[in-house]
Amino acid sequence: MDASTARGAGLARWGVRLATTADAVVLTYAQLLFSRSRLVGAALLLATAVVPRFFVAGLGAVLLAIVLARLLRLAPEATDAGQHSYSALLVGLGAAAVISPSASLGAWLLAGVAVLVSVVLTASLRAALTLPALTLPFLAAFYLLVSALGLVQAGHEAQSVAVGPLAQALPEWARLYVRALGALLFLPRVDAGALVLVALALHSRIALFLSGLGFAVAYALARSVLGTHDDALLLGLALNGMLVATALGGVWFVPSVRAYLVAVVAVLVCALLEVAWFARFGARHGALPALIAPFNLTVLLALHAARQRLSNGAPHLVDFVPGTPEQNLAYFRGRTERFGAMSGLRFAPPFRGRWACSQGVSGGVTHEGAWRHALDFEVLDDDGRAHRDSGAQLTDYYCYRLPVLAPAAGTVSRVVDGVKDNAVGELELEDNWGNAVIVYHAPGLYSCVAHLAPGTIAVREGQHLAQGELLGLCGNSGRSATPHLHLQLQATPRLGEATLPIALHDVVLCGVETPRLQAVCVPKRGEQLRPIEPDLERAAMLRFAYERELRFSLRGPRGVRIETVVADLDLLGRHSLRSSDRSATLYYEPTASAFTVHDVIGPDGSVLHLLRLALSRVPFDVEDALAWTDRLPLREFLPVWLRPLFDLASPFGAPAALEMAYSAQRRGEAWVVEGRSRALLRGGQPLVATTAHLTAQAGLVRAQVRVRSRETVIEVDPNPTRAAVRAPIPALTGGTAHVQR
Amino acid sequence: MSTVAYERPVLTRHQVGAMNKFSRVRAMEPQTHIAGVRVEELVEKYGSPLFVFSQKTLVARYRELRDAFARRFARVRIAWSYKTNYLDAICTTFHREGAWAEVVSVFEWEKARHLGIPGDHIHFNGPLKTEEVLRRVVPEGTIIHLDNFDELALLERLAEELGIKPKVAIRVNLAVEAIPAWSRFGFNYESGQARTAAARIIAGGKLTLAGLHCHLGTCILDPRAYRDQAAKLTALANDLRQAHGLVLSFLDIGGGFPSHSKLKAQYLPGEQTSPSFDRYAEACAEGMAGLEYPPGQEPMIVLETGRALVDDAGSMVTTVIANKRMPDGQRGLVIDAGVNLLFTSYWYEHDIVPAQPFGGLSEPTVMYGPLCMNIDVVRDTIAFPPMHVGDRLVVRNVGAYNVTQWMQFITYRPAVVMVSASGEHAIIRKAETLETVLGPEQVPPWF
Repeated sequence: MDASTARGAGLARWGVRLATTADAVVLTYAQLLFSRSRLVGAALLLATAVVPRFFVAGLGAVLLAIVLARLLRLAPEATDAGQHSYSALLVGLGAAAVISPSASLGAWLLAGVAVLVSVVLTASLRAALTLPALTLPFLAAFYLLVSALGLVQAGHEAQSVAVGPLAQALPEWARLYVRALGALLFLPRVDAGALVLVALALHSRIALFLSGLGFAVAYALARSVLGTHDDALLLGLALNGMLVATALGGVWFVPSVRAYLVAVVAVLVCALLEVAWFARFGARHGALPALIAPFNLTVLLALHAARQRLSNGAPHLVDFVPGTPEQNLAYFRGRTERFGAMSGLRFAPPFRGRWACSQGVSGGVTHEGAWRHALDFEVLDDDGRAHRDSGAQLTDYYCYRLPVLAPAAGTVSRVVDGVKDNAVGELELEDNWGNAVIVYHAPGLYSCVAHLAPGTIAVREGQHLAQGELLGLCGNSGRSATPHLHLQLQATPRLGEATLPIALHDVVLCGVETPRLQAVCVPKRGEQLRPIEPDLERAAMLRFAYERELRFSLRGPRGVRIETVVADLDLLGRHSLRSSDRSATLYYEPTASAFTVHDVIGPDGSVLHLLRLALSRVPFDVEDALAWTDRLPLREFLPVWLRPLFDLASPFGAPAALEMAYSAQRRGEAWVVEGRSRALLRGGQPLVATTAHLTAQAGLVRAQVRVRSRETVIEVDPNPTRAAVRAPIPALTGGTAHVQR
Repeated sequence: MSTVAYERPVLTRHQVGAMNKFSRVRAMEPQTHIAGVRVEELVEKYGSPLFVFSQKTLVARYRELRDAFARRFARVRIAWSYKTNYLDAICTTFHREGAWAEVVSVFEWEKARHLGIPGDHIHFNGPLKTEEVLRRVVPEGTIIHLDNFDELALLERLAEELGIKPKVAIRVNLAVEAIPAWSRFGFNYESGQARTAAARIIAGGKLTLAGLHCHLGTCILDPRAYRDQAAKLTALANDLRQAHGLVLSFLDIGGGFPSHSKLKAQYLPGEQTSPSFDRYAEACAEGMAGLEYPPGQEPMIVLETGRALVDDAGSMVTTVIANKRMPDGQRGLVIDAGVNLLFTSYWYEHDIVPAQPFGGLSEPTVMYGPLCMNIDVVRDTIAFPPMHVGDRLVVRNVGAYNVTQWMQFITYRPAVVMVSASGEHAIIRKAETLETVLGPEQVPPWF
């Protein structure tokens, strides 16, 4: 390698470094509004520029923090996302507010040390706390700085900041609202506040609404109850109120009416803290200002309290990687409406083949009271009988000694064996659960199968199980008059524990015209069901090899175009298809039993949006003809001007999904998946209609997608070129993670 | 006016419903309907003799079999045994339920392809696989069940030449207690020949060893035979995984489950002796309990059940041509269906009942077919009531093998009819006429 290429490579490396750093700087600013948008960050950066001193101090602190984080070798993804430097940004802005322009270099040195303290504290709290660190590192570092400044700078009162232009044109409450937004950056000015407002509106409509809600509650309280006119107290109440409402109503809880109620109550708690702080210290000389300490304390208190609940009911804590409030809500609603309330864990029927539910939830026989969320199963023949011949022998019963399987992966926590099988019609009331296996799945979540045949239990306590592993054989032990299987979920490994709500996943309902797949199902008495029986050949139809290139030709109302898509896999093991210009990405989950699209991001025109309509969820069952339903996000089908209104209305329970009815059937050698929206156009035609042709040889061959009257025909190039072969990046999580962004 | 022939009265002790040490004496009931359709209506429309298949029974038996195995195994496939009955309507009924095809000749393979079954959904079995046959079926992905080393070598050569890696299974023959071993097909388990064949296939690298296959025999009444068979196949699969890291995609346990027909050697009727599909599935599951495969990679269980699926769905309607009194005093009946149509009469005692109400005393009766051949005996002795000329009889459980092994001999072969679940009926194979027989015939030009 000659010197010039080496120099070129070196320069290129520096270029990349600079770009990453610039990105981290902008993202640091966005963090202040819980955002990851570069646009939001840039708007906030611009807001600090209304007073150049603040701009320089803030930027300096952020750069220093990023350099320190890199020198300390803190987690680079977090550093690049601005997560080690947002407290430092506040320290810098705060320093600009408290250090007089004429102060000595010592004061700025102290500020630099405070930045270091904030970075180290951020990293430590991230690792040590199970709660979010919020801006506690900033508070600690800044209080140190303010206390120490007394030595190097006499009279360190906060520098008075002008209210800014046009302030008098606004009514008093609006002026306070905008200035309070600016106070987030230590700039309680109308101009800075207006830019923060722009950033907030760019970030999220829900967050904007919540800031207004938090402000309104705090302002009403200050005016009607406290009757205060103290500007500092009013600003403090308003800023903390807005932050608390935004954080709880949209970031840590999934936006909903209940989350908003929590937010309102929390704003009141926060105001109490603020007023108490002000009353105790506010008037005294040299006292520490409350700043955003009440916000920090209130949010931590609320989160800690919410986590003490037995289950994550409404309002729901965000238990996934958060995005904007709108994204959180859309993801959460999509997930619960498509796959049920339980996150992550999916319980399959604990058997193979077709069984019938003989007693459902609150079934009236034994599933009552604390044990109501339980399911009983047996096997029926076409005449609806549970046994052949007279039914006097246990062996006459179809379900007797059939395999019973683990409904989900877990660890065996309790095994009961040795209870004899009852003769038909007799009950054992002493050991009424009979032979049972209790499996631990997640903290506070166990499953229990009971009435197994003695001596057939195939697992030991402590054994790790995959979903579908054999537990034992169905029997007639315990309180069981005829052979059947009992399944329940419970919170502890105790035999006979009260039940938790139960739902089974990916169930095929049989005994109807066309077997119907239900992604989530609480079986009712008499329903015949079976788990998905995966067909590997069908599963292979929608398997996209890593780095495989797919070339789609789209014929639509606007002519023909070509879009190339590449199959990708990220560090977290999330599978995606992304358009080759990287503008759009489709996240999907391929398992042996189904292909599931979780999300599509990117411009509306991409083929990936159309593919999602056609293939939102495709089960790979052995049955040739199968029907199922799915839900697509409604927002995409609304005109652009309506979307902000939709964002604001959706937390209040406005319908968020377009219901689709899908069916699959074999046509010759092709397997055809058709989708129809339940929503109809005025002419009676479905709003969305899709058809996808899949074959064993070529996978996806062709798809037609009609939205309103616009039909697009998508053809897949039969000879996709393979990208240059690179060593595949192995999945870290086994490839089945289904978290969003 | 005709006079009724004098019949000498016989005094016999009345013993309706008495028990013997095996079971109750069965009173014969007439069968006036087949699958809900009047026998007389069918004969009027389609003639006699006549084969009638109940589609409802076909589907019910298929689902019963599939459910029994699907409740015990992660993956189950039924490959319809074409040789048992390859009429299009029968095959299509099973294919619609999800069955693949199991064929043993290029004729059967072509029939499956003609019915729209993809080449890679066909298991090709049997000893008749010439180079010509393999060249035809291998490029379409058909799974080849290897029978011998010559075939293995031939297929390897073809694989190299054609540039494809065919999926193959090893047909294994093995001994289990109580039934005679069918050692003529495949590679022997006990001698280690099957292992050698597997090692050879793996070392050769030209074929994909996808499965093991064993077919114990036919009409096996003891499910424990399948437990032993499954255990041996499992041991072989475990060995192959240990020795070669090979995870098979299927284990084919063949067919051989009995129908409700009664073999000549059996004493009790078929409904009482034929175990349910559940018992066979349970025995197989017991035998395979020791399979050391990782969860999620359980092999597909392939079933090649033929007889047990189709036999009970088929009935034959036949007409009494004449009554006779044999020299030894036994009553004789001449009927219009013989061993030309009921080939299975050689090993079954067919269950035959009158198709109309009857009176009179049952007597040991011999039933002769229509052929002018001494061997044409459908039942050599059956307790049967007196019949009139023109009366119809129903021969039950004759769906398997008869409409494939029947002969065009002396007379034409009759129509085959299917009755749907809702009671519609239609011809699925037309009655033969002179044209059918003359079709392939030619007279040389010098005549």
